[in-house]
Formats: sequence, structure tokens, C-alpha cells
Amino acid sequence: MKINNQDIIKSIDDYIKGNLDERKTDELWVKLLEHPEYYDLLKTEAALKKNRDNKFLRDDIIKWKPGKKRKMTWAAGLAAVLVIGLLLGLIRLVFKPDDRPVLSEIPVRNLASPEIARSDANAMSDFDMALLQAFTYSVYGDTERAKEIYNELLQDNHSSSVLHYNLGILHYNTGDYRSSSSEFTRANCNDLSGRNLVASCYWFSANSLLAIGDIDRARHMAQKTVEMESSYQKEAFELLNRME
Amino acid sequence: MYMDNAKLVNAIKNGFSRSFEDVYFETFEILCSYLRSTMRADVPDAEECAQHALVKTMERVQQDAIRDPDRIYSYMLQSAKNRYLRLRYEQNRSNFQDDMEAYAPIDEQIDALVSRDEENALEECLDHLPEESRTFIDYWLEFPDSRASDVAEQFRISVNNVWTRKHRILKKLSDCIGKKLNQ
Repeated sequence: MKINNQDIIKSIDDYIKGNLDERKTDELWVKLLEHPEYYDLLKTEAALKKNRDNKFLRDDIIKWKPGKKRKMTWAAGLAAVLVIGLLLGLIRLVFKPDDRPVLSEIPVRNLASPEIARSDANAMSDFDMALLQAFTYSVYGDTERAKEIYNELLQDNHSSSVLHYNLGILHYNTGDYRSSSSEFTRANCNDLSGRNLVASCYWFSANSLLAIGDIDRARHMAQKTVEMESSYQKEAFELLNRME
Repeated sequence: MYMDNAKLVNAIKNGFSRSFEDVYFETFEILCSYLRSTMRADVPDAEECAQHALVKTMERVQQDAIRDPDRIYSYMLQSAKNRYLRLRYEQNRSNFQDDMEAYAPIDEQIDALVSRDEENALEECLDHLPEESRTFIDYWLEFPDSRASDVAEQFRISVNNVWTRKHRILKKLSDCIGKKLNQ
């Protein structure tokens, strides 16, 4: 929806002054999505305010108060794994362990987009362009075309964690679990950018390894998932329980 | 780049193209900035949720499942926000606070919006403004709570002109900052 220039400038002014409630703030951001040229103006006005505030304070430096940091719970996760291990070691299970994968398929929204900053978009290499193309085909459901592009890149000796991770997902969703687990291994999950992506990689890897019957490595990947804070932590706990 | 809702829907449906690629990256950046400033999301979480929203929107467009294409950007924003709220809830499950404020105070939002490099670039760009523009913008900064009518009276121009002039100066500063950062 085209809007009046003045309206958005006034909204930005109100926003910077702290006069917008959450609903109005969201409305402004929607306008910025529709008209990205005003996003830069918002940042400029924000910078002006900071500039003014810096000049009027006694101290020259303003420390931004960080938001609530998540507590490090990796130790808690590890402790929980150890406790579960001990308990399971003490109990003789009557039931046969359940080592089926949890995931029947991996939703494509878990694909990793190429790590290309906006400022670099105009200088994208052929490799980055191909990665983006493959990513887009994957999202559109043209899995075969996406796999073709990724495999062409591999044959040309290109490699990246994102490429292997995405191929792992595509193979999983076409039932080729052996190729899937191989790609997740080659992705080297720790090399991916961002905690959530790393956790996803561990979790999907655990499922693909289970699917090919590699129980020990699947357990290891499930444990790595448990150690990280993520939306998969609970499922990974439950999987470890089932597997013993 | 301005792309209205209908054009965005068509760009997604028509598949990979240069114009879609530009929209994708711009939208991704703005969604990340929204989450980082209003909700204090860290960079990895903001990127994950922004991408989730974009991909989900693309899927729904492909399936013709967007009920109101005119609100596609609104859908994207809410999708990113909901994804982040869910992430935050899952991660803080053990110590979820009922009185946790949803949006950061405006000063924190502004801090998150502006990098140190942008601040430094602005300082230099302010020095390059013509005197008349510098006087005008200094007045806004000196009296931040003043209304447009006060500014109009001060500079003996119409209220409409106040906004037009401010827009022009902000655009000039913004372009200047962009050039300095890309050097």
C-alpha cells in the first residue's frame, strides 16, 4: 500500500520519541517492510537521537544495558544426561528399546539460507548465487533441481557447511537416510552460524543416524542436542530415554 | 526498493529472480532489526526467526494459502515475532517470568538500531550539512519534544514544510552515512 511520505516521517518521529505503543510500533515496522527506503531514515533519526543524548550526558560513553542473558544451562543439560545415564544403568528394562527416528520429515523452513549480508548482495559470487538458487528451489518444493545444483557445486570442489546441511535435509525428506547422515557429518555442525542452526544440525543428524541403524552415533548426536538450549532439547531427552 | 504486496506475491510465485532476491535480503535485514531492537533478540535468534518467517510466507504464497495478500508484510512480521516469542519461552521455560516486558524501552531499541560505525559516520555527515539544514536539525535535537507547529513558527515556514524539510535532511544524512560505510 503506497503511503503518504509525511505520515511515515511523522510515525518515525513519534517512534523515536517513545510515543508509540506496541501495536503502533508494529504498524510502523510493517510500513518499513513495505517501504524499505524509510528504514534507513529511521536508523538515521535514531542515530541523531543517540548523538544528541551522548552530548547531553556527563559521561562520554553510554553503556547499552544488555537484555536478560540466557543462563548457561549446558552444565545443567550435561548433568541431566549423566543422571539419566546412571538411572538407566541401574534399572533393568523389560521393554525393547525404541530406536526409531522421531522425524518423519524435516520441514523446509529449517533450511539454512546462504550467509550473505545485505551490503554484499550486489557483489555475490557465482557460488553464493548458486547457493541461493538451490535454497529457493528447495523452499518451492523442487527438491531434485535443488539437489542437482548442490551436487554440481560439490563436483566443482565447492564446499560449505550450509551446502552439506541443506543437502542432509533434502536427502532425509526423500528417504535417502544414508546420504542424509553422510551430509550432516560433512556439514560439521559446529561450523554452522548460530546456536539454533547448530542444534538443528545435531538433532537432524541424530534422526538420520537412527534411520540407518547407527545407534551409537545417533545417541551421541542426541546428547549433543540435549546439551544445547533449543526447541529440540525436550525431544532429544525423550529420544535418549527411549533408546535405552 | 518499494514493492507493494501484490508485486511481492507475484515475485514469490514467479520464482527465483533478481527482484525477488533484492526483496528477500532487504526484508530479512528489516525483520532481524525489528526483533533485535523491540525484543532484544540476539543476532542468531533474530536471523533464525526472520528466515523462518520468510520461508513460511513463501510456502504459503506457493500454496495460495495467504488469505489477505494485502497484509503479507504484516503476516511476515507477526510470524517472526511469534517464532521469537516461542523460542524465548522454550529457552526460558524453567524461569519464565510472568511480568517479562514484551518490548524493550525505546532507548534500548534505539541503541540496538544504531551501530558505532553509523554513529561515527553521522558525526562526519553532520559537519557536511549546509548551514541552514544544520540549524534546522540542531533545533529538533535541542528541543526534541517540540511539536511541528513550534518548529514551523521558529523557522517561519508551514507545518507541511517542516516535515518535508526534515525528510529531505534525513535523506541527505542517510545517503551520506551509506556512502561512508561503503567506503
